[in-house]
Amino acid sequence: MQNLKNFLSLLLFFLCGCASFHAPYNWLTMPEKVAEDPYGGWIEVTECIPPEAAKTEIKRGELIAIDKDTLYLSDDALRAIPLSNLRSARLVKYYSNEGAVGALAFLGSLSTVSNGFYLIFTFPVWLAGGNIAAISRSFDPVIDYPGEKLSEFIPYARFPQGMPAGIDRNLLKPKNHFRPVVAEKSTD
Amino acid sequence: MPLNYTLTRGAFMTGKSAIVFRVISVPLFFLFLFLLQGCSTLKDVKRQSISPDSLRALADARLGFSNDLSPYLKAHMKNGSLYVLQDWKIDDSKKIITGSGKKYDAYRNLLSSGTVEMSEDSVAIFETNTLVNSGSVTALTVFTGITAAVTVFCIINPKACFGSCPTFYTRDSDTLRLQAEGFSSSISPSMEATDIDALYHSKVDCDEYSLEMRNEAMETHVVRSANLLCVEKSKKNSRVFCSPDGKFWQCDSIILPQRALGPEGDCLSLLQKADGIERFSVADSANLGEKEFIELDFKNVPGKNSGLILGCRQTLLSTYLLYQTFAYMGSNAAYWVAQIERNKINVKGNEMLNMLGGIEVQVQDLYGNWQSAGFIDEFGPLATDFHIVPIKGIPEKNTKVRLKMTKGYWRIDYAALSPVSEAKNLTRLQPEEVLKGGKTDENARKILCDSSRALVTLPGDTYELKYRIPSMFKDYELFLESRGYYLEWIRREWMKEENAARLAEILLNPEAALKRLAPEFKKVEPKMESSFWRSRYAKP
Repeated sequence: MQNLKNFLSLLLFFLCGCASFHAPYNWLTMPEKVAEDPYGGWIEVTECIPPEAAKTEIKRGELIAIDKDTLYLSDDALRAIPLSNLRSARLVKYYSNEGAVGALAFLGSLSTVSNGFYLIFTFPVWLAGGNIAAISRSFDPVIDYPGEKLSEFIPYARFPQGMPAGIDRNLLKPKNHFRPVVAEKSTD
Repeated sequence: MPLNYTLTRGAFMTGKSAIVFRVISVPLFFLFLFLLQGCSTLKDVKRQSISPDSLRALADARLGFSNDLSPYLKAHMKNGSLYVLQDWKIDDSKKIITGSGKKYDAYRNLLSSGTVEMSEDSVAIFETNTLVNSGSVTALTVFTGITAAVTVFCIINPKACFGSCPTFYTRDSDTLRLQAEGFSSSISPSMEATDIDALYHSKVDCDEYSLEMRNEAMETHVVRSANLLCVEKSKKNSRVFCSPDGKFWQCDSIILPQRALGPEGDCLSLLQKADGIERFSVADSANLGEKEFIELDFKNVPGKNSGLILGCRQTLLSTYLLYQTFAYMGSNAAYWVAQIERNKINVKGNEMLNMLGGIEVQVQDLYGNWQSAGFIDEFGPLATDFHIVPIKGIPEKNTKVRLKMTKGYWRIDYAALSPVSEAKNLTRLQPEEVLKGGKTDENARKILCDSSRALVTLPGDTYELKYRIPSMFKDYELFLESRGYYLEWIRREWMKEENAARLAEILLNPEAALKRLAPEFKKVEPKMESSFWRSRYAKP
């Protein structure tokens, strides 16, 4: 029984290890379509709300631009977030489809039945390695701030050159398939 | 542990269900390979931003813009609009970029598609995207490679899997040397036996001696004892060898053969040094029981009581026949082994083993007739063991010795002759300390020192046995005295060959079986040695 508990804990640990974000269904682009996509990547930022440093607000949407002192994202409308208030951010470049890796790892684990006795070696390798591969895949398209510099985010903005002058910010439309997400408020 | 469970635990299923299982599992694996092929779409994207000044140089170098992995060029304009181009070129004189693609405004409304044109000066930044393989897919591909290798190995060569009793290693600087294999012929509890193996290559240069005992096969090893025998040498350069009857013999002046002649011709150079370069032949293609001879000539042998020293091990023919017998037993292996246990089948007296036989040492008498002097019949294809066959009344000037053995059944590394005298002073040492995983395992030591108990090891288990060498003699020859038995795990791959009639043929008409199995064995014989050693089991 204890062994079963340990195994389930390990499985849970693996399942919890994937990168998490809240992009709407079908919002993210497949890797092979990224080069044609005219929009920016998906971003989720945690912003401090002055004057209380402990009060934060999470905003999510398409990364529009990053200027010298401001990050712009678009959900139902354009949001400007002063960089000085930025506590953390996660950018997702494309749809990683880690579920496919997980499914392949599962099938790979099953395929070890063809290994006879050596299954006792190859099955755990598949089980652990396949889960690690799926977790790793989920992080392939992810860039995290402050782990990475904010300058790493810029190429994945809709306007990597910065917010163009003279643009009517009220007319910036969110990407297709995008359904606005109500910003969550939280306090640490 | 119930014998039935032990024998079948690796099989998971037996009989028809095993065959059905196999029929399903192998296609399942190849289906998986097919699906993995589709996984090649799991790519990572590397984006590069390029300033307009750098575009020309990059275009000249082509930088892969036109290749399949990076087919698009994006031009982000200063006013926020965007061109996504497939084919493009730069007109140097007009500073214009033309190509085919799409034009979006800053609000990402599609303005036009087809041939587009833009001024170089109005571009803020260019962008390319390159698809590269994801590391995760690479990892899955590696796992698949491992699984495929094991699958193919098990499909094509199920009887070349490493097997045969505990192996004992000594550490020589940074390398491990296989010194001995214990009780190779003891394949069931009733066949538990004591085995003495010469630790020929061991050096005793301090008062401590270590042996590493491993279970490297899909077997359960039951080790009753693993003692070290220290036999006093009469001279520093003399050697001591053990004869098949368990006696130890001092060999003070070793004489190498002057000539060695096998069916293939001269093989003298292979037999003069115990260097692991062995003389062996291949099995007969029509009859696995076919015999061959090697003649050895010695000159000026002093004394009438001598002994022939042989360093040898079996080929994998013995392993093949053992596994083939288990394969014919199939899902009923437990029943048949139980029959052996009840003494209803006498394996030691098995006719097939008798037909294959050991190495018979024959000596030519003064009248030119070959007289049998004794046999070496120790089982085991792993470690070269050194034996002596005492010979009485040997012709002194020109001594001719002949080895009679089954073709392709023995590997001989060393042959020599020596006058002998019986060695008397012997000390038996039990392990002073036993370590498992680098930590002292006092319980294992107590078990190995108690003849009423036995240490059970499973695949991958490794124990280090440490002995305290006494200082009562000047110099020693070391031997390993191990006692126990082992149980083969029946491989699922063997189950499909379950065949009571073939088993009966092996037990009742071995002569016919050896002829019938000859072509089958010849198919796997060339690669069997390398496959066998590759399949050793080690804990991950």
